Amino acid sequence: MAASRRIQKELNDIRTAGLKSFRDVNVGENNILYWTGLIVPENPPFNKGAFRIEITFPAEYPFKPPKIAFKTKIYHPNIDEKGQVCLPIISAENWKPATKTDQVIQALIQLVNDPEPDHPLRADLAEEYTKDKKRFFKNAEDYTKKYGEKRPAD
Amino acid sequence: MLLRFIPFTVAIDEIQEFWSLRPKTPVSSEKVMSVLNQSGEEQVECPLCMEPLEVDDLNFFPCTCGYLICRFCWHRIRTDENGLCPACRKAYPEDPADFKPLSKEELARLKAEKRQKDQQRKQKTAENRKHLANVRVVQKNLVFVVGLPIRLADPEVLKKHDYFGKFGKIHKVVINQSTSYAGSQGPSASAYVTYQRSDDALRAIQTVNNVPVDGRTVKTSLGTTKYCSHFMKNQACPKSDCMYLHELGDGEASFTKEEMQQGKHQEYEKKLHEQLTASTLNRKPTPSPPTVAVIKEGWPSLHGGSNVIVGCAPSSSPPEDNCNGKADSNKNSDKPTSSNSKHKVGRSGSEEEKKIRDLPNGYSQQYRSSDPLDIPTVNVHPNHAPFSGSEEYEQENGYLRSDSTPDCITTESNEFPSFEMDPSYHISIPPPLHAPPPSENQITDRHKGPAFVDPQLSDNNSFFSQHGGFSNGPITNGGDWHGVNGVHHIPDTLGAPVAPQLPPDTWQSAFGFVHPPEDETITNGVRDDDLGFDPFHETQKALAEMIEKEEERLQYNSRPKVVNHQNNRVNDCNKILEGLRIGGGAPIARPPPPGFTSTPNHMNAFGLGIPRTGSKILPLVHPTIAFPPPPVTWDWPALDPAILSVSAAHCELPGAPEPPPGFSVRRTPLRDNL
Repeated sequence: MAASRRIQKELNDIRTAGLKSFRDVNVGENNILYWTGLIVPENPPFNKGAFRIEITFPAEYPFKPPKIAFKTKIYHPNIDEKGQVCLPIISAENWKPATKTDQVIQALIQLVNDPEPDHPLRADLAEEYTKDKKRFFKNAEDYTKKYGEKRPAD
Repeated sequence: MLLRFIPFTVAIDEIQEFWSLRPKTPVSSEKVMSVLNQSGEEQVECPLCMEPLEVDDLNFFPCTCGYLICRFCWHRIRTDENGLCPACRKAYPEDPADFKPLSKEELARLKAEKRQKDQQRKQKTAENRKHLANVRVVQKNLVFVVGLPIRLADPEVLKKHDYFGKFGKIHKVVINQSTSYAGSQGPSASAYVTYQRSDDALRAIQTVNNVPVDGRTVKTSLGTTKYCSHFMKNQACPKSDCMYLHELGDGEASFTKEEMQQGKHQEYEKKLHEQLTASTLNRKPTPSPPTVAVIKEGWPSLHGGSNVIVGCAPSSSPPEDNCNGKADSNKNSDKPTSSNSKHKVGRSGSEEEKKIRDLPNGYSQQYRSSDPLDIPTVNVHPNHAPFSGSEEYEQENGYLRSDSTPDCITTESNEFPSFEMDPSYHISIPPPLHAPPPSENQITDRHKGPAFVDPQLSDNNSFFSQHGGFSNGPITNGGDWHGVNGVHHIPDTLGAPVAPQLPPDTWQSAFGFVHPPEDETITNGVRDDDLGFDPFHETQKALAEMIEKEEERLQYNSRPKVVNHQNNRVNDCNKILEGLRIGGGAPIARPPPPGFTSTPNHMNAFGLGIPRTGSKILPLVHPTIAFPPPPVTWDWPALDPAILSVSAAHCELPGAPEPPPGFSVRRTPLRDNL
């Protein structure tokens, strides 16, 4: 299967890269198409916790984009309550088979650190983010502390 | 000296050089490769499907952006997917933007180049591996044995539990019939014994090395293996059971000829032995005998007299201590009981033998000797070692003694060690843990030469010398025995190693195997050709002593209870004696005294007494000593618990086929007395 061959390579590359903001990459048993990992944002207000995500690759990968979902609740304009993410790079319209998974992850980390209120999934949060950043930060931080996963020590 | 290896022409430097070179892969000069090959591999892959690109794909750039993909992916994108370039999302043009199909000549040339490169690569590895032809790798699970008599030069024989099978599961035995390794020892065979576990191999080496068999000294060491010729050529080995190496061995265990001449592989082996010893010690901390110390001493038997019988000391021994002995005695009792009383001694001996063999750990005298706890046993055994069955005989005596009444016990505190013997046999059975002492001397000196007598060997010798002294010397009576008793006596015997002349049996004795033929020897009075002495003779002497003791004992034996109960025993003993006389026609002048029964009693006394004195001779002599028990002298209360349990356990043991009628009755009285 073309997909697994490429995914295995990408997995190896990501694991060797040892990103600080994306860790604990695990692959589903008997299913390399299902990954989980831990996003560790560096910017406030999300730097008080970490967020578990899952990456699902379609069998047609790389001709079809992977899907990303948050397993940890997060107070973020671009991520809805179900954990769906609005990430342009993996949208069906924009997907380029040449894109590597680590590029996707970098884009996701970027999005988490710096929300894009212009393309929100949660309009209320986007509004709060643009109009009352202080309040958004406070809420997001509380939310992160409440629901976020523990950040790795190092 | 024993191991000779094919001369090595290459120094290890070259090998290391080879190693350092090997990982490097040739850097491709082609433009495409340098661009696309991220992993540093020569192979270029399609970035989408990661499949290696065909030769004629290398020039396939379907998009103006210059993104190279394989034509499979290109086709798929155009037919099944959105038809956009996977990199720039421009629609693919109908015709590839940049693709000049290779001409047939070019194609052929490229393919030829590729093939050539592959070949070169293979050749290179093969050449590099050539150096390995001069390297030998020490195998931790391979025992190399030299000096084997031809009669043992059979894989099936060596695999037996009597020989190398006793140390662990053997994977393979290869016999080398060539006599080239024999040196001055005359025609002998060598063998490679491959164990499944390396610890087993090390133990085998420690136990068997320098053991004399059939007039030769068997030498053992870790064996080395060379690389399979197919591996050197980078080919798959067609032999499924090929014992040569097919993968690179541990660098630490690899040695060139020069290094082996310097003995570096021996140092390595020594290290392994030390590790094994250390781990063994770690595994069993307190209760286990200080194997290491013993090993270093090289004369474990010397220790025995002075120290250690921890739980056994008569004064301190709690009932639990005796439990082991009890259980063991019970075990033993089964077999002797089944046998006929007639040739009791011989029979029991043989059975004992079997039993020992059956025991996975059935340990050798050597082993015992190494163990401080067992020392008493060792001391005892040396005397008997010469005859294969003698050990059993002793034990038999011990069992008989177990029936003994308190009086006997009191007299013979010295005999206690003998009692210990049983436990050592059965309990210590997990020999692996107790691993035979890899005496340092042995390891270091192993290769020095045949002349070298290593501690184990000397142990054997000591047995022999002692035995010799025993047979030649006057039969010790009780009084003498006490004088003789003690640790001091031991060194003398040890001091005179007779190694070279050791009879073939020594190996067995060293291994802990007793020769079955003994019974025959004893009963029939047939002389065992292999033995340097007449075992029967020895037995006779022992019996004669016993008889004497018995007579004496009659006088001492004032307690009616004991006598009554022991009558059965007496009968048994008489039978034994008769059997002996008949077989050997031995000059046992005195008829078995009624007190002879006491023999069984000695068992208890034996066990109790030995720890204190630690005399070697005890087993045989004991009977005599035991009889005159001055109750006052001994601390009875302390002794009691041990005695009781022991006696109870051993009562059945004595090898009396039919439990004596008075047997059951007797126990109770004993306890009451106590």
